[in-house]
Amino acid sequence: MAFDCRNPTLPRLAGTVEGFYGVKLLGIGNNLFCGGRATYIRVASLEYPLTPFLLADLSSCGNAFDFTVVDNVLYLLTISSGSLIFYDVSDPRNPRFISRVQRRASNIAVSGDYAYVTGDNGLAVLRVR
Amino acid sequence: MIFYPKKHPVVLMTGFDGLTMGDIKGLQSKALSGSPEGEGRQSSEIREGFPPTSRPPHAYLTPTSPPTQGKRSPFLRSCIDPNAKWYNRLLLLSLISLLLLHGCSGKRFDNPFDPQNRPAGPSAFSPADGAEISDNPPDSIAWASVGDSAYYHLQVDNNSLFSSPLVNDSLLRVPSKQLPEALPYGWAYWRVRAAKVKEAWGNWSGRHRFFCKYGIVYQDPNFPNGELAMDQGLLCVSHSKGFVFYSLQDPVHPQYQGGYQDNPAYTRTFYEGYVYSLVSMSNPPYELRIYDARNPQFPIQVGSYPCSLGTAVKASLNRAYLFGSFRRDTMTCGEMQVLDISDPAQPQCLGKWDTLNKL
Repeated sequence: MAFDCRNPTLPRLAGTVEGFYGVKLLGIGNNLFCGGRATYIRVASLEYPLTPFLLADLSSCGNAFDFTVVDNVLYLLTISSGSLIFYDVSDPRNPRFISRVQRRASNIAVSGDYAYVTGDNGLAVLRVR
Repeated sequence: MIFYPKKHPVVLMTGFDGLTMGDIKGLQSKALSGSPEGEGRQSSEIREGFPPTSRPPHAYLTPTSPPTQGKRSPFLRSCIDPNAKWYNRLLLLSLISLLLLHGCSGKRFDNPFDPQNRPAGPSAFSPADGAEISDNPPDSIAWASVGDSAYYHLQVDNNSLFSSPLVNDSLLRVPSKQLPEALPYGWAYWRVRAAKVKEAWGNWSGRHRFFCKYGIVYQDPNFPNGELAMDQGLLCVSHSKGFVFYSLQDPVHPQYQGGYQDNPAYTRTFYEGYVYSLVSMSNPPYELRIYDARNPQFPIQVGSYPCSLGTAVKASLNRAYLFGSFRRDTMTCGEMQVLDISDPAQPQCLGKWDTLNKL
């Protein structure tokens, strides 16, 4: 669902786009990343903000617990393989695989050179750059 | 058949009767008894512990004890008896032939525990020594198989001395291993050894190493599991009983600052020193609670806002956007509100959209 909030007193549903699921939404530049909480990651273009359209999906990684995007790198925590996977999304139409680090976790935040992941086995700080 | 050891005063005699051991001293004394000449020589020969070299060994192997024929097995007796049945002799000949064939077949029994028979240290295949790897753990650690080795023992550690190996597997039956977990960031060292039988390990291979470009630098198994948010050098962890803050001043070792116990929250966001927490209630069903966390050691609640639906909250540029939805049978309800949070203690609704009004 895309809302036009330019007039905050009267938010307006501008449109809906099928095929986007998950709880987490991240707007990075002109791109929208959607997924997480047991859905796979999709990337949409916000070139026309009220009618986002799909650029890529990362269904090959399977469903993700959580994800974040920092400096054109997408970090996602996969459910099936229990690992942290990095993609270069500087070209969001063609996400490029960078690396995989085995670590089962369900939440992620990235700051500087480090990723912080938490799960049932506590916290892990990973060097990711 | 006589075996005459060089260093020990023992003679081994084998025959169809099996193996018999006799003390050379006893044999000597018996062979030389009754002879004055022999009696004179006996003492010096016994002192040396060696049989006299002037006589052939068999001269001393004339035991005076009763013959041992009576101890032969009935089968052997039946074979070597002059009146033996022809098939018994044939069977004995067959057995001897089999033994000879086996002995001449070239197969030798090498004691696997003998250091000379232990396999050499395997040579490494992958990862290449000194390589930088992106995936952690690597696809596998592999080495060249060593002869007929049946077991391999692999050690992997981030310490070049292998003082407390992270991986220590001595039950490997193939020359490779997939590691189940990521290795720590930095250099990883590994070595391997082989064995033909369990525990008869050969020498360790050389020490190999590879560099894990990405990997774990710190772990805390007691850290709360929860949604993470980051703002102003603080890591906010939203868990089932509230939220806690950790300082990232030392990014590798987050330090606990403080926290707040709260109702279970559907979601939380952390923005410019304030925590916006959408918590489950009974009446109203949801409430947006706002906490001042500019002092993360003592966060305090400064405001609240009731709402009927709660799924997500986002804060940006003095606005908070609340979204909620639920599905009951075939009817889907949704709600979106825009709040002014320029004064976080008193959030004000600016506008609202919901499916009911729309319908």
